[in-house]
Amino acid sequence: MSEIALAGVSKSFAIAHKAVHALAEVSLTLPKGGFYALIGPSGCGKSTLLRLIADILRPDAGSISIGGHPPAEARKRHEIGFVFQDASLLPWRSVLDNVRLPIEIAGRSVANPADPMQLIELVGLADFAHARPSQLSGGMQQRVSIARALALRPKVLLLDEPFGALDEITRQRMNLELLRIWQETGTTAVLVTHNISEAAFLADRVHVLAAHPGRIVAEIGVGLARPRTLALMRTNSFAQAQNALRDALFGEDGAAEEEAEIAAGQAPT
Amino acid sequence: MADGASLASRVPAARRAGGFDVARFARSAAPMVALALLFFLVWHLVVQAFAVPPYVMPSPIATLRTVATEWHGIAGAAAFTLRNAIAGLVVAFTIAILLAALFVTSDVATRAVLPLVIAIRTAPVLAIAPLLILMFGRGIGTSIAVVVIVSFFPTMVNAMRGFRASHRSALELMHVLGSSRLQIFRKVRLPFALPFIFTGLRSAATSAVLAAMLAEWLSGAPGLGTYILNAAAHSRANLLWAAVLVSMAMAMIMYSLSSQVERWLSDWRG
Repeated sequence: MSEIALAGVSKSFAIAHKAVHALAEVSLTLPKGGFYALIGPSGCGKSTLLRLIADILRPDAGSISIGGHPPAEARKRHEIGFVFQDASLLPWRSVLDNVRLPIEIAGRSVANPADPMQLIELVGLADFAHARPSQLSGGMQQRVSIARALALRPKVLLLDEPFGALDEITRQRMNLELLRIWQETGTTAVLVTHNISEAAFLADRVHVLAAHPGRIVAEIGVGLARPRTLALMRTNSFAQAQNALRDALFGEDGAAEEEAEIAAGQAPT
Repeated sequence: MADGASLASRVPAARRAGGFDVARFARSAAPMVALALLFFLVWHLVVQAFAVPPYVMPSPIATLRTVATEWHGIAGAAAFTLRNAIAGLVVAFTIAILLAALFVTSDVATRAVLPLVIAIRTAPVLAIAPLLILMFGRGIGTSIAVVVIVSFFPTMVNAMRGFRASHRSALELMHVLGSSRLQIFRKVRLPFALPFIFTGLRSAATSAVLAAMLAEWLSGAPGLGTYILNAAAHSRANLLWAAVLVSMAMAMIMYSLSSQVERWLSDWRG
């Protein structure tokens, strides 16, 4: 449960000897315990932003802090959980051993790791604890990788389009599970997505990015009550939240540049 | 033997059952026995059809008889050569893994050491043999050195490729988890590399027997290579071909041994 803060963060890559500005002067603050979404077209640098927070990449300029410390420190203290686009499980390890991997790596430096078996139950795979990843469907593999990301009770949980490769039905189910898990653990969650309804359904606040150079163009609070259920998706307030995101993404007479706040809609009926 | 290996890797349950399964062994050995019979048949027919004189190439039956009657001498020489080949292969394997690990982790080391390694690999063994004999003596030392020089390279090249074959997201995952370099190597890079490493090792294993005999041709150590050389010098085709037959069997043993090691290590990995 750490606050994440970015101040003036820039990052460019050299692609074919040309500098491409993946991110320019990004500043944002994500208070602890919340659920945040980063949304934008491909190439807007949203995955880069997540990788900077996780210390997979280093910023060219600006500073990042997780709970007041640099990301490298948070990473070495095993405070970051990361869920990749592909489940990236180690194929020779069983489900249980994959979930146990972070605990093996941390050794005794993490005093109070989660019980891997409980995590596997949490993601609904108790019957598959000893299966190999190749024996699981894509959705099940991604659930294993979520369980693995939670093994060290991370203070921040970073998710990079975790359900992008899944079909719509599985994706909805996974989103519900993710919300339940997030609420049980109380971690600060940051989700990268290009799916408008997913962002509106999961997040407290959505940061909208634009490309060339990658930058944040809007911050939209989603005032929908929790716990959120599938019934919520049929309500007007959910439709309004989606519309606000759509306007920010595609521009509605330049309204995208302004900060929009959606009135906390009536509780889902 | 290749059949036996792939069968076992496809049926892990049979592997875990433990103990020696006679029926399974018979099933996996059957194709090999059939092939051996076919080989002897073709050999026999060639000798008959072209009326090959026995001082060039004896018939398979005569050769097998020689293997039986001269077993004591051949077995002693073969055991010497096989031991050197295996010892050399173990040393080569260790060096290959260490060098490959060094090269994939350090660009500086690659630039400094890799040319030297290639140079050693390229130098004709015939030319450096006197140096090797001076350094390692006429016994097992030179044999191991020659086997190492000949067989570490394919293992090393494959291992380097294997160490680079780890999935990027698996490496990023280990980074985010705050792993040490050693943990990344032990838990991700090495297991991902194993299939590549064993591709190299299997090809090295079969040439190791030949390399061990080559060493004997240069140093005169009392192995199967020297045995073949002596048989040729005395125009004793029976002995010569009996020894050749045994050396072929040895190469097969080496191949199946490396497959067996692969299976053990794959179990460890899993």
